[in-house]
This record gives sequence, structure tokens and C-alpha cells, in this order.
Amino acid sequence: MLENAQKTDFTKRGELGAGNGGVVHLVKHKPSGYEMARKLIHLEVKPAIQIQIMRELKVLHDCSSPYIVGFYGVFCSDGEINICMENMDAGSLDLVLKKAGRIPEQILGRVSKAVILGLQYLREKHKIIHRDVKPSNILVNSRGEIKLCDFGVSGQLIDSMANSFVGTRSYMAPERLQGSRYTVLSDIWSLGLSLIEMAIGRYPIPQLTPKQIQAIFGGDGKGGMSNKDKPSNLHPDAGPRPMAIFELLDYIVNEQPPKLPRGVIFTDAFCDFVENCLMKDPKDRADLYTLGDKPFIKQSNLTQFEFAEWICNTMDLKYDMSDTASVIPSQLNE
Amino acid sequence: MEMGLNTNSDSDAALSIESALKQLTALERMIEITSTRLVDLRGLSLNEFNIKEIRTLEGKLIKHFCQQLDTKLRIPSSDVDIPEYPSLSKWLNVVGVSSLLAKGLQMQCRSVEDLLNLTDKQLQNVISEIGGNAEDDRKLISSLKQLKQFQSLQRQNRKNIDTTQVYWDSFSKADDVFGGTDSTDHNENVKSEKKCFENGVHDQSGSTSRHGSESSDSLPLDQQQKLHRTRSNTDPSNADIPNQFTELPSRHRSYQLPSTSSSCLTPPSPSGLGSRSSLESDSGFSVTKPAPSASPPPIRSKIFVIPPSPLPVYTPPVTPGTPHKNSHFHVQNSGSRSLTRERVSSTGNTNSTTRSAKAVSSTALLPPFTPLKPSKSSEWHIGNRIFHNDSISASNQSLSSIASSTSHKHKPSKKEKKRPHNLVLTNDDNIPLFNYIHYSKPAASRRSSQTTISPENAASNSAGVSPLSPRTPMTPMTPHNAEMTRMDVSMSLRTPSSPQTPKNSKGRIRAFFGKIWKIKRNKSTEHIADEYPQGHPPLPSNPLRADSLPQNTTTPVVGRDSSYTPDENGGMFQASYGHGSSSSAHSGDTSSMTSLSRPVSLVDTDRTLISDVPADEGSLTNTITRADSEIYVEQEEESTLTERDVVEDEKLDTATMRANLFRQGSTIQSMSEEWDIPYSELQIGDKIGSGRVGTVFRGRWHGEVAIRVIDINHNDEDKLRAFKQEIMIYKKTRHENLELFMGSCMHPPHLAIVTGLCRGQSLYNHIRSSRYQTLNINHAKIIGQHIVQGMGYLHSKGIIHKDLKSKNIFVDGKHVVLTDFGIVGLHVVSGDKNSRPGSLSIPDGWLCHLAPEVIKALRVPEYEGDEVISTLPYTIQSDVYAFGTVWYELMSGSWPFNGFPAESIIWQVGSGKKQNLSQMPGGKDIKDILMQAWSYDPSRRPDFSDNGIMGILKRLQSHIHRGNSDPAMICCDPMMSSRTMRRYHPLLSPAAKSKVFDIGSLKF
Repeated sequence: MLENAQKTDFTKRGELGAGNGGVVHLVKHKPSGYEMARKLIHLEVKPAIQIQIMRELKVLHDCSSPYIVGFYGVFCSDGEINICMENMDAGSLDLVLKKAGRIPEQILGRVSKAVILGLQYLREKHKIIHRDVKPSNILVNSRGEIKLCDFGVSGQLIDSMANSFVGTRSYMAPERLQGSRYTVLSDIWSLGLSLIEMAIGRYPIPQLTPKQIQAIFGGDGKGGMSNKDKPSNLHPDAGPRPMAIFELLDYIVNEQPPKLPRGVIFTDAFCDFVENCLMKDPKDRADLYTLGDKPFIKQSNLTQFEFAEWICNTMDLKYDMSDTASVIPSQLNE
Repeated sequence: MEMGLNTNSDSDAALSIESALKQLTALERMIEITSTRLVDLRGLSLNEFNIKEIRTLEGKLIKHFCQQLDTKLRIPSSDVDIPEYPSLSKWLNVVGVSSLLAKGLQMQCRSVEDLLNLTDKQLQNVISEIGGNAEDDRKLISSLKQLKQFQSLQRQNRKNIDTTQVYWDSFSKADDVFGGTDSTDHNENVKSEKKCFENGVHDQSGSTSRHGSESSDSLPLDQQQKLHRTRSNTDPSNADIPNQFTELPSRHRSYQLPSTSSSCLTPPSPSGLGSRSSLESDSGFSVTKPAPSASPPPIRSKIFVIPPSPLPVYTPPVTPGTPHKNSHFHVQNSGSRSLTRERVSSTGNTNSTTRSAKAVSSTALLPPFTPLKPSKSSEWHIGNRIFHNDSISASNQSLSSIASSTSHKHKPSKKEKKRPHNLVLTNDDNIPLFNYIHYSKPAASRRSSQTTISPENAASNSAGVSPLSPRTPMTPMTPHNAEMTRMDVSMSLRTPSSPQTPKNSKGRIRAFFGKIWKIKRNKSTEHIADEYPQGHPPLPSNPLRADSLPQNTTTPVVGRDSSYTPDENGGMFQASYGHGSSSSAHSGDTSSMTSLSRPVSLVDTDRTLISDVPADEGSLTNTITRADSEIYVEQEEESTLTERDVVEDEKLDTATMRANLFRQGSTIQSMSEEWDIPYSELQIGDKIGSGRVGTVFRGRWHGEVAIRVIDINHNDEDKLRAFKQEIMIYKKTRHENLELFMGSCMHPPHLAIVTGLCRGQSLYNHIRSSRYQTLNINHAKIIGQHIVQGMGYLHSKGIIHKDLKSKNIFVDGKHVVLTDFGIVGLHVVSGDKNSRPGSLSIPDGWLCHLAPEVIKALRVPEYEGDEVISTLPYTIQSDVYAFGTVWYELMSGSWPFNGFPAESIIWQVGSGKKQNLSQMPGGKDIKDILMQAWSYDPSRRPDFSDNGIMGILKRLQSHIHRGNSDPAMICCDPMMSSRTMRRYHPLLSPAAKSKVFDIGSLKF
């Protein structure tokens, strides 16, 4: 429905963040009155390629899963690709993590389940590998939904991006760094790394020392259940001296994979799950389906309501069970 | 930025520890940024602009450190100890002392305060204990002095203290190896420098001891640096050689040692009228008094009699009343015989004359050096032309040349003769070196006149007139130079010249002879040449080290007679000289050669001296491969009066002197104005593209141009300065394969660089065009050669491209043009719009051009304004790596590591992995270029010279024409290549295959 949309059809409500290749704004689509998250990707490509990208992005219309972010449409304006998506009001998990300090295991159980189901959906229905699983690409909202976004839907779009970005944290699997082909197993590495980060409140590379673990979790074995519990030195950014990018990547390739500290506050099921995700050799890594059968997922029994409650508490949102605010993208597609 | 930091001078109120810490860290960051810039600058060629920059930064750093100290003092509880601020290691780094000394000092002192508490004497002791050199000594003491002074000023609560006069000249002299035993006097801020000048003028006699190591201190310019490098090249133990030379029967009177003075070089008396003493006092030329009594090092006294170095003991030829006395010595102009005198270095500029002259006097025997004017130098390079108004004669064969340029600002009349500014070069031990004497020339006449002092003439002056001692100027050998040198030599062989005979009716004679010891540097020293590309002020030979020259030279030393001819038409300085056997010693590998030019003795061409050269001298291992030196002296009669007057005026009036000093500064201004284009004159058209730095528009300014408009925060003076700084590198470049720099708009808010418009298409597009796919590999090779040619030129100028890639290369028919060299440096000015703290923007295709050592240094910006891209450790070798990538692209049609995510490329390249070449077309030799250029170890990458990549490419070329008898060459064969390229070219579409293969469509 947005194929012929103009930039003027939208009013900006604010910036939601800057992702790979573009800025995301919260906008209101005036003709429909819907709030949307609009991602702008600046491309300097020939019209033919632009058309190809638009065609590839249409796949998004067909994505209908409770674990995949809703898609309103895509249009071109001033050489920029505009991708309009469902607005997830609680933001991405990296924002949540920042606010919470650490994310409790039960919450992460539900997140893991959602991510695995989302990846399975992409894989089965669309033969898509996500390629960029990380906390900032997992979105949540005040209704307790967990959805994936920013997956590699358009090869042409990826190829056409004039810029890519490298951050202080890399979620890329070692085999991928070494140049082998991307597989769904690489997404699983990324999930495992994201889970550790959210659980301990710090990007886990380089590996935490026992002392640091002690400092984070104290002796009481409790940790991170409330958003009051966030000493500033546990902030995800508060790592040791920043590593050069290569140094970090080389650590991932050549050092032992990170692990969750056992015997502190995490269940063995969680620790096992993460270790299964973070096997350096992809052949040893659990695939999407065996992961789905792991005790950590099976035992995860947090309800959507409980999850929503935690999110709302953490993000100072008002919990609202009514669905009026949300628009199911398929309704727009008529 | 500084506003916030200045607050501490506003009040003496005690600070809470927290806020103090905050302030300290903020200052620390400032220091970090400033010092990084400073260190970068020190690595650059030292021209006026850089030096000014360095001094400005030094002033700032003093301020920051001072503020840190001050902040600490205001922390109430004295029990709190914050030793890490100000950081001692940072301070030492900033000061520019050798790492050895820095380490030693850090072991002995805990903080900057500890250092400050030491007296100069103590410091000197500490330094000599640790083994610092005299340079360290000077830098450290003077910088600490500055710091103390500034501190006391600040304590007086003076705000806005001007830091422009606060500096200590921390130029990199890392290779300096002399033991700092005799550095005695360290005054090195501007004031003291001025004082020195005055002292030099008024009481030179009292300061013999200063003339040694300290003299270099008052040479704030690059000459110092060169000086030091020279020192390191010389062996301190050699005292004998000079003896040999002196023992030689000298055929000319002028060659005799002056018995009276320790200084071999005495200022030429322009007219031969003045007595020596009067000259000394009048002219401000450095004259050394013979009295070595001022507690000279043991050797010193010896030196007066016998120069302990291979340096020829040239006695200033001082014979009064020779027939030439009043005559101009003329360079013999013999048409084809004469050769372009590219040896005359273009150091210095006209404005610096006065200062140089004074510096000479103050520094005792060291000639003043003035920074190079880039614009001039480039002209010089390109046209082989020398503007000798400010030129100092420098032999480009010599590494350590002492060149002095003296030019005066006063209006010259045609009649007005060049005033000889005598440059005296001595080492610490007062060993005289020979100077070329230059006269300042009025702009109008400068091209046609050149004054040198002929030995005979000088000799003639020796009695009562100021003796001139010729010295050999030395410049680093660059490939460029080397070529010219070769030319010199060959031409000189054809030129018969007799130094003793006045050559023309005007009675001007220029005699010119001597020896330059050429030293071939081994690999470890090659960087020196790189850092001092031709066109920079010549390196002064280090007098201190003169005594360190090899004692017995095995190298044949051949005297040459030569004559210089000023070319009246072209302003070219032409010189011809007879050449002895030494030419055979000329190393073929001139590019890697640095020569030390030392006047060995005045001997005839047929005389050969043999001396031993120690293989290892300090950190540099030099082999003397050739010795030849030249001395030329010329005198002009009419110059005296004018000269004297001017000098006297200056001497009497310090205000004038200062004004002159300032004039020098204003040259910088005028230099930039030379290239200034009023923004209003530009017609800006369509946008062509945008990069990390600014946006490029098509435009018009006296024809079609490309205009790169830079966005910077125009209120930020630092950035503006940085912008101007970066512009400097453009001014140096004139080469067929380089984008033409036309000028720049330097006035905020309009900052732009105007260059010639590159026609044709970028190599990036060219490679990906269907037409390219029909061309054969030969075509790619020719493009490659042009790129290599342009890059070789850049490197010879000491410019690192930093961003060589096909998108920065333009191909238009037969023409290949490199653009955007060094533009990465502007990044620091414009900022990176794409990157934010925590995220580094990686443009498509950029990473595969980065050498492993560069890619490993990539980091994510930590805070707003954290500059990553422009601060990466780019080197000449990393440019070579990037060329490898372009070569790969030329061969295969796409980037290496194409399609890999950025992180993967970073890891793979950083770990030494290379693009798989099995799919690439071409023979082994084509791939060898890649394997070499992509060497993980930078030192294993070839350079762009004929011994490196260019050589390989040329050989490829010949293979091509040889046919395909060699199976490995199959792809190089023009008849085969179309087929093989179609077979291998990954981009070749079926459509392209049907296209007619045309070799001839693109010719070079």
C-alpha cells in the first residue's frame, strides 16, 4: 500500500535509532494515521538496481509471523529506500539491556524461544538466513511480543550499501570471520553471544575473569532481577580497555568461546544452551531444531503477560492488553 | 574546546577531587589529541608551515600540561596523589626525546613534577647518565624551562597567555646518535633565539664553545634535523683524514688553511675592503674566533689545527689582492656543456635571509637554514630549475648538506650585487666545512645572478678581507635527485673547466671543486631519504659529527673542477665540472643512496685519496661508495657596501631584526595566498560525488575545474589550520599522473580545494565497463605503469597517498590521473559524518585496500570527534599494498574479498590471508606482483621504482612483445589475451564475448 507513498505523507515523531546503513525514525503515516518505524537507506545506485532491490524487499510483505517484525511497505524517494515497519514501542533488546543492566534468565528463555522460532520461520518459509542476530535486532513491545528485524532479505541491497558499519562488538561467528559461507549455524553463534551479553550485562569478549564475575554477581548468587540493580560499572560499555577491531575478531577466532559462569545464578540448562550455541566449529554447534528441544527452551514457561510486565516495568511503559494500538500489517495490505 | 579548560585560571578556588579529576582527564584528552598531531607533524617534512604548526602545538601542550599541574595543585587534600597526571611518558613523548632517554627518565622520575624540580645541571647529568644525546638534552631542558615559565605566568593569574612564543622545536631527530657531552647552552625559545642572534652579531668571540652542539639548537629548522642525521652517519673517531688532506700539496693558494682562525669558513667580504674583524662585527656573518680556549672538548683544540674529520680542511681562501678580487666570478656558461644545477637547493625563502644571517652568527659556524618554499621546490623539481635567490647550493648527492640561503628583502637594483652571506659550518670541534655562499637576490634579478665564492677568490681575501670558506651543501638523495646527479656527472665529464681562470669578460669566475663523500646507506637508513624528499631544505651537515668521519677512506676521492653557469634565460643554474674517476663509484641504486657530502680537500681532479670507511657508524651503517665534493666560491665586488649597510642596520636595530623575523612568518601567509582563490570567482556546478571528505562539484574557474567543498566547523581555528596544513601537500605536486592542484579557498565559511577536472572515467568504472573487458591485459599493464609512475613521484616527495583505489584514479584516453592523495588527512578536519562513537563506517571496497598493519590498527571511535581514519598508520608500504589491490582489480575486474562482510575482511587481512588468485587470469609474474605488494611484512613489499614494481611491470611489457613461447606468458600475449581474458574474466558476460576484440582502441 505504500508503493506510491511520498515522504510528505509522513510526519516525523522522533528517531528510534541508527542501524546498519540507515537511520530509523518513528513516523506517522498521515493518510492512514498509523505509527510506523521508517528506516531510511541511502543508496547511490542505478534505477534498475533500485527496482531490483524494491522487488527483493517485497518478500517482507509475505512475512507473517508473530516473531518477525511487521512490514508496511517500501518506497523510494530522493534516491533513498524507505522501509516502513511496525513500531515496537519497547525498542530493541540492547536498549532494554542498557536500562536493565542485566536481563534475567527467565526473560531470556522467552527471548531465545522467540528468536529460534523466528529463525525457523525465515528459514522454512523464505529460505532466508538472518545474518545479523544481535540484541539490537530483536525488538520487543509493551504487549510482550518479541520480533526479529533487519534480516538479510535483499542480497542486492546488501551489495549496494555504500557503507557498512563495524562496532565495538561483533556477533559474527568464527567460521564466518574466516571467510567460509554463511549458514544458519552462524546465526546460532550470534544468538548465543547475545544471550551471554544480556545475561551478564557486558559484551563477553574478552572473556570475563573470575574476579569480574565476582564483582558483577557478588556472593549472594542473585543478580539482575530488577532495573534498580544496575551499578554503573556493570554497564555494557564499561568493559576493559577497548580492543582494536582486529584484536577483538582475532579473539573470537582463536580464543576459547565465551561461556556463562556456572554456579553463580544461572541454571545449568541455560549454561548448556549457550555453550551449545557457542561451539566454535559449526559442526559441533546445535542446529535450530535441536536447540528448540533443549531443556532451556522447553522449560521456559514465562507467559507473554509476565514478559510484557517485565518489559513495561523496565522501560517505564504502560502495560496495555488492548490491541487497538497495534495494526496488523496484513490488514493494511488490502 | 579550550574554553572549558581555561577555567582553572579564573579562580584559585580549591577543587573537589572529582572535578579536578574530570578536568585532568579532559586536559589529558586534549594533550592526547594535540600530541598525536604533533608527533605526526614531526614525521612530516619540515617546511615553514609544519614548523610553525609544531611550535603552535608545542605552545598548546605547554599550556595543557601547565593546567594539569595547576589543577593538581588546587586539590585541597594534599594526601591525594594523582601521579598519573600529567603523564610523564606523555610529556617525554611530546618533548620528543629519544625512547632510550624516555625510558631511563621514567625509571628515575615518577612524574613531571619530579622533572621540574631538577635543575638544569642535574638534568644534564641525568641525561648523560642515561645516555641521551645532545638533542634530548636541548629539548628536555628547554621544554621544561618553557613549562616553568608558563607556570609562573599562570600563577600570576594572567589569562590568555600567548603561547605563540612558547615552543622548543621538538622536531624528530630520532636517529641522532651523538653522546650529549658538549651541549652547553640551551636557549631555545624565540626570545632566546633572538638573543642568540644578537649575541652572535655582537659578541661572537665570546662564545666559541657555543658554536658546537648548541649551535644546532638555534637552528630550529629542518636543517637541524638533517644535521643530526648527518652526525649519525659519521664516525666520531676519525681525525686523520683531514690531516691527509691538509698534507696534500695544495695547488691553489686558496686551499691553504688559514692559520689564524679555527673557523674555516669566514664570511666573504663582499668587496674585499673590510678587514676580517670589521666584517665579523659588521656583517653578522658567523666568524669563529680562533680561540678554542673556552673549555673545548679535548679534540677541539686539535681541530683548530687539524680538522679531525674527513671534511676537507678548507681554509677559507683569503688572499687579498688576487686578480679576481674585484671581479665577479662567473659561472662559465658553456651552452650544452653546462648542466642544470639542480643541486642548488631551494631552501629558504627570501624573507628568511636576515634571520639566517643572524642565526649563523649566533650559531657560530652553522649556516642558517630556512624552510623550504614548497611552491618553489616543486617548480624546481619539475623543471630542474633552481631559484637561487633563496637557494642554497646543495649538492643533492649529499645527505647532510649545509645550505644556507640568504636573501634580503631590500629592493635590489640591477646593479646591486649579491651580498654574500657567509655561511660558516663547523662542527663542535670547530671543524670548518665549506659553504656555498649565497647572496640574496632581488626577485627581479635572482634568476640571472648567482654568487659563489671561488676558492681562489676567497684565498685572495684571506689577508685582510673576510675569508670565505666554501662548504659543501648536502641534500638527501632521492630517486629524483639521483637521476639528476647522474646527469650532472655525465655532463660534467664533458665540461672542461678551470677554476683558476676567469671565464668571461666580466671577470667573473666561479670555481668549483671539491669532493663529496657519497655514502650509500643500507636499508635501515633508507627512510631518511624518504622523509626528506628533494625539494626540502637540504640537510645541514652535522658539524658535530664531522670528527666522526671515517679515518681512512678507501674510497677514491677525486677532486673536480667545475663551474657554475647561471643561465640567463631560464634562470636555471647550470653547473659543469670536470669529473674524476669517482663517477665510476656512482651506485646504480641511487634511490637508496644518501650521500654525505663532505668537502674533502681541494685537490685536482687527478688526485685520489683513499680512506677507510668504518662499516658501522652508530645506528647507521654506511658505506662510502663515492666521494666527490665541490666547492665553489664566487665573489662580487659591488656587494660589499650594500650588504654591510643592511647588516649594520639590522644589527643596530633589534626592532628591525624582529621585523625581519616576522617577515619570515608572513611568508607563510603569502605562500598560502599564492594559491588562494576567492570563493566568489568560483562557479560551482553539478555535484560529481561525495566522499568521506567533502563534496566534489564540477565548476568553472578559468575553465573547467573540480571543486571539493569541505565542511568543517569554521569557528574552529585548529581545524582551519589543519586544513591549511593539509593543503600544503597538494602544492608540492606537479606530475603528469597527478591531479592538478589549482588553488584553494581558505576563508571560512568557504573552504574548498580546486583541482583540474579529471576527464574520462574513474578506473573503477572503466574496469567495470564492457569496453574494458574487450581490452587485453597489455592495456591494464600500461594503466598500472602510469599509476606506479604517479605513486613513485608522490613517494619521492614524501607524500603518502593513503587512499589509492580505482575510484581515485581517472582514465581518459591515454591519460591516467591519480586523485585524492593525502585527502584522508583532511578527514581530521571534516570529521566523519557517517561514523558515530561506537561505530565505524566502512565504505564499500575500502578495507581490501588497507594493508594488514593498517587494518589491524582500525578501531571504533570512542567519542565524538575521535579520529580513526586519518590517524591510521599509513606508510609508503601501505600504499604499495593498495596498489596491489588496484592491480588485482585491473586483472580480475573486481575487488579482492568481494562480498565478504567487513569484519571478515578485517580478520582475514589482519591475519595475513590473501585473496585466492586461482581464478585470476595472468601468468605467474602478474601474480607475483600481487604476492609481493600484498606481503604481510611491509618491508618485503617492493617500492614503485624500477627496482620494484615499475621494473616488474616493464619486464612484463617486454614479455608481451616477445610472444607466447613461454607457456606461463600465454595470457600476456596480445594475440592470446583476448581469449584468455574472456575465459577468465569474471565479469565477462556472454554479450561481451561477442564483442570484437580491439587492441588498438586504447593506446597509451
